[in-house]
Amino acid sequence: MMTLDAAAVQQLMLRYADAIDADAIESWPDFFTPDGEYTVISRDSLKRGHLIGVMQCCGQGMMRDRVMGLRDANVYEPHCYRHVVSAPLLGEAGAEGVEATASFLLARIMRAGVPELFLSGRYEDLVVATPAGPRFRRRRVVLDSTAVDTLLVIPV
Amino acid sequence: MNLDAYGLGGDAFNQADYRLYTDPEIARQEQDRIFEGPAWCFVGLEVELPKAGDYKTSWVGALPVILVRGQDGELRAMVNRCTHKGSTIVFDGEGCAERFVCPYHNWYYDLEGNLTAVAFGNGIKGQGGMPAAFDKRAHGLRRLRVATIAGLVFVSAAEQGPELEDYLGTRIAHHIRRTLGRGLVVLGQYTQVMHNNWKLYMENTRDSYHASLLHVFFTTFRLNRLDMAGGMAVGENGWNTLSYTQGTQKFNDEAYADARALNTDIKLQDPSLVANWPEFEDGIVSSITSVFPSLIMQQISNSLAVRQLVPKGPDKCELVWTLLGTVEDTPAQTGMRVKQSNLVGPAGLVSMEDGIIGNFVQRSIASARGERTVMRMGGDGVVSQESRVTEAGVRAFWKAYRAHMEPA
Repeated sequence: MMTLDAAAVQQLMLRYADAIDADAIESWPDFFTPDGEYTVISRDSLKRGHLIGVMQCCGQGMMRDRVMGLRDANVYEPHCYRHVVSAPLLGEAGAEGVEATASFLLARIMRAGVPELFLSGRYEDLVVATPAGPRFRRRRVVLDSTAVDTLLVIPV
Repeated sequence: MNLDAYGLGGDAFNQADYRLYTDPEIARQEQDRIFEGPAWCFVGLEVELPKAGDYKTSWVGALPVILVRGQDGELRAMVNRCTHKGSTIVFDGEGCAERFVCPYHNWYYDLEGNLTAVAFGNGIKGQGGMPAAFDKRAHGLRRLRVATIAGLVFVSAAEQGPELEDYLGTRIAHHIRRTLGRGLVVLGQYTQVMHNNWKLYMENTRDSYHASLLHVFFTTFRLNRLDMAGGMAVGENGWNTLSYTQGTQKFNDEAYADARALNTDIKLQDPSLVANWPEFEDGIVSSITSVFPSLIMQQISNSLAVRQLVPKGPDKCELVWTLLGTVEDTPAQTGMRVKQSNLVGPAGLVSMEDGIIGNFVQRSIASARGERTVMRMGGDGVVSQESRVTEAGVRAFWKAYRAHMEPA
């Protein structure tokens, strides 16, 4: 099994962002382990110990249901994202995997109009090695603001 | 003001001129007559202010307010604007304090809003200082009336007005107690910014007609369809509404023949998203309570939340969501509330469309001159109905609106 060095973790982070920005949302759950956890929560909520943020998926099934909603059920204006993700800071590697964080800026681009800074924040990840390569066991998206403009349908 | 010209004369409340959503002068009058009038505006939860000295800031329309629990345990509300130069006094959102000090010139206020001291009030070395005639008692913060029900805190800026209980109506007050009249726990809090007039969102929360048409996620999984038993209850004064769904009935696909094509075979890969337990003895599995002009209380399965609506000018508003649980919840029940929270909020699989639908209206009506909405589904009345295929709740909004904007 491959080692989880900073370069491997960064490649995972960049491929993740690139897939979402390229509208390959169907592949989004595949960046996680089958039981992977994905949450989007504000730093203010984390400080208060809130259990609920704006999105929480436990496992790839819930993520695929999100993708299904995005493609087939939910009504929203077409738009896309552009992620800018910093180089990762790696924490200590434990038995479970390696913890890593990275800052991000996320622009939202509607059909017309200029790109707007939609969200900023930090990824707080637990990355594990799998036979298929590095995967997120946990990806917590910590938003800098408590406010979300209009709606959040495409994962961050 | 005379609302006849806006389609709001008579007793029908079934049309409204689009200028009501766009005119800055209308917005200014709404601040005077509704938000700073006799309406009761929701500003927060008692659980946010558990002990003496706890405070938070909030909004009553455009009016900034401080909500604080005094040393005597009483909740008080006052305008967050220094009487000296108008500076915001409390700017850190929340905390615990023994007094409030304006950052600009250090005017001191106690937790009841009384001005207690003025920095350099006696001057320095005999120079400067306030005139001897300056009476601190005449410069306290403007106080607002406070009333609570089931842990929800409301304020009214008018010196006189109806009692909260009468304002809500019997059925609405009962339903609020039934839903939240327990030890509450804040499970989450976030704000959704919407680019539409506040009234469009308030109407939307009373519009049981749109629910299963715009919000297809629910319909697709047969979680909430208008052919399920339910109805729309309107409080005695015709202002506040309760839209509810009671258990499940046989699905009636024919009723949806006119709606967008639905793939009824679609299945959730992870049905634990909607795992739930029967929380209420009345069998109501989903309900939206809408209190004019600023509170929405939500029970969607076991997802409990209150939403505070804050206007930000004619074409913008903010919605402050507080997701709730109770002190009695088991860990499994808390887990279900957490998973179900994916249905609501700005990323809500069921409700995200409400974040944009108001803007779809707002952007198209900027040029409207004299056209009016049509709100005639379920007849023209403002009465409770055993069907949710009705706009009775929306008409109730406009009845409340006229009662405040153009009092009899």
